[in-house]
Amino acid sequence: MSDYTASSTKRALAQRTTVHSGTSVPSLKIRTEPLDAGLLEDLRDHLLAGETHYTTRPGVLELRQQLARRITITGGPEYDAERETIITAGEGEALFATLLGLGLSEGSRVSADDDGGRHSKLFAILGIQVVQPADVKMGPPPLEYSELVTEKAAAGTTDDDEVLRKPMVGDTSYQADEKTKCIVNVGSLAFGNSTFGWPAVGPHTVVIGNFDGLAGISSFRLGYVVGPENLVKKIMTWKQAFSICTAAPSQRAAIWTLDQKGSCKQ
Amino acid sequence: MKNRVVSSGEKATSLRYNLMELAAEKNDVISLGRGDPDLDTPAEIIEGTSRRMQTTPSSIPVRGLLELRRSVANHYQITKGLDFDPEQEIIITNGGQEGLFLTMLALVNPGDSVATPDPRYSSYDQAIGAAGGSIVEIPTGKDLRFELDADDLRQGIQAAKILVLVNPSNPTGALVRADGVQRIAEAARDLDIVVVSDEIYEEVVYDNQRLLSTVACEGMRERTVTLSGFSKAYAMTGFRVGYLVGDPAFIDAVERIKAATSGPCPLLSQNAALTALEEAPHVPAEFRTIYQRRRDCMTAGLDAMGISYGHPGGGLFMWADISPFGVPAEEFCLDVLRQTGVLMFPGKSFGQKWEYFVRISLLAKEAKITEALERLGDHIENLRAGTR
Repeated sequence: MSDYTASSTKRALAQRTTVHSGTSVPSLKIRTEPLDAGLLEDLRDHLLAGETHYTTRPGVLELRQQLARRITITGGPEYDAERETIITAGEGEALFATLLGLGLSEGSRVSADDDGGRHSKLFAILGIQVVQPADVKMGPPPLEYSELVTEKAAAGTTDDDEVLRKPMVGDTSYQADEKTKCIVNVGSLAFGNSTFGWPAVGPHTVVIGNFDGLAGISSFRLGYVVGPENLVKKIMTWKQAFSICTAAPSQRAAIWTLDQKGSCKQ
Repeated sequence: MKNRVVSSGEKATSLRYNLMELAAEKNDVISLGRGDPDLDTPAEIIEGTSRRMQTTPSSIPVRGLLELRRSVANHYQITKGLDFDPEQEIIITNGGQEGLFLTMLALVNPGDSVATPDPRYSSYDQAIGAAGGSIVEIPTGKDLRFELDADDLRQGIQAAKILVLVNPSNPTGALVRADGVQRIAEAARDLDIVVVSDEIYEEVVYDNQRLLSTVACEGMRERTVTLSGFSKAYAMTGFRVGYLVGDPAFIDAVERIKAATSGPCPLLSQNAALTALEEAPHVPAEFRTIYQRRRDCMTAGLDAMGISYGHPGGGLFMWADISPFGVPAEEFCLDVLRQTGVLMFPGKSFGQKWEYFVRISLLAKEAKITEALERLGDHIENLRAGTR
């Protein structure tokens, strides 16, 4: 490569690409687990039956119904599977689509502990300024972000991070007032081994999480968004813009796993 | 404050999805709308994927399985004679769509402008808008020729630092042939811009033509990002797997953004892509033969109806001019769907000025395309007779 041409794309890189890692940078690889033979057989059957196309944008309804049920069973709020749930490509995509769907962009401010916790780099990449909840000098931010991490680094979503946030109690409310929108990241709470209960959510609260608490599911990279229909609809446009839909075999793998009694790690 | 580019992209996308929702409520709809191949992923790819999934690696890198990246590099060596370093110059993405979004986040600063052909796939608007950029439209379509032209690029580029070249084009099916790609490359070098070459339809090029990849042109390797994937060539849309090829610094940047957004592509999807490349390299040619027959069927049908269109040299769509009927495309598509059960997308879904164009996909069996043309023919006859 000549020096001149070698620099062309490099020179064009956006400033956000120079964002430096903090203490909770997402790992550049994820751990996987061996897969159940029954799962592989089920996946093969469904793929051969033609489940190789785009799914609906928010995800396979059967999985969204299972998700809504799991949330309720584990003590969370009730959600309408058809209108208030989205399946995403991991927890990170859930947060990414949610931030954009709630109208945040370069220069927006968000209130969060620890610079945004496990997803601090995402905030930085999007140019979103994270302020401490107690810091109100610049006026209240339009959005609050909280992480409820129930397992070591949310079970496989990161490699080396040990990010254990403050434990949340079941009656903690994540909406400070009537107007402020709020994102609560519950990690694998709906599927994992948690000693913490679901937080109370307000009318403008969006909950994001992952499926990594399900045994053998981490390599399928699944996350979710649940929340009020009006917000979920906006978030959906960004999920669609980013990756159209979540991989069909991944969604099928979660359905199979949830169908198996006792498949949760607990 | 919502970015104007984002808003227009959202609106354009919602136009399509509203029609798809309406179509889902009707019986006997022939969908010539969405770009999802009606063909299923070949069984040999599924069987091979199942076999590969018997063993799982202990971890998956965000860049993607090295074996898959090596296979992509090998594909470029065999098909284009180009050598890429799989460790530094390739990253696997959740489909081509994520690839374009990550590319824009990696290259576009707030305030930057990006040149795109007009018309264009509207997801570019949202990706560019999310990065804080704006769009400079490079016009195409003079005399129904929708191939991006280097002279139009030079005249219209303004301060844009990036050109998006979608070749073959979505929505028009226009193919910029080798000499045209060479002239665009020359312009890109003169203008000192980076070219994002969206080659997702590279395997769907008709009439014994072959796509010249932008990156293959002299001096373009280091100023080209190539985007491609498996959705169209192997009918694997549901797997969501694509890739980017580019300068190591660019791939590093994309990896950091991908780590923060979606992480690695699912293992099964990557194994499916690996199987496609390693065990089913004959599939794209077989699909191309099918699509070309459909294209010929569609062009013959539109010719018979007296509807003009841009010549589809590749891709999975046709771009037809319905202005003689005097009905805006949104209304036209809605009427056609309601009254005949044929789903097409209105032109404004791909650019504001295309009020009297429709995008018609080739993603239905030939018999269905024939039936759709018959239904459309009846509708148009009534329009011409003033009875509808």
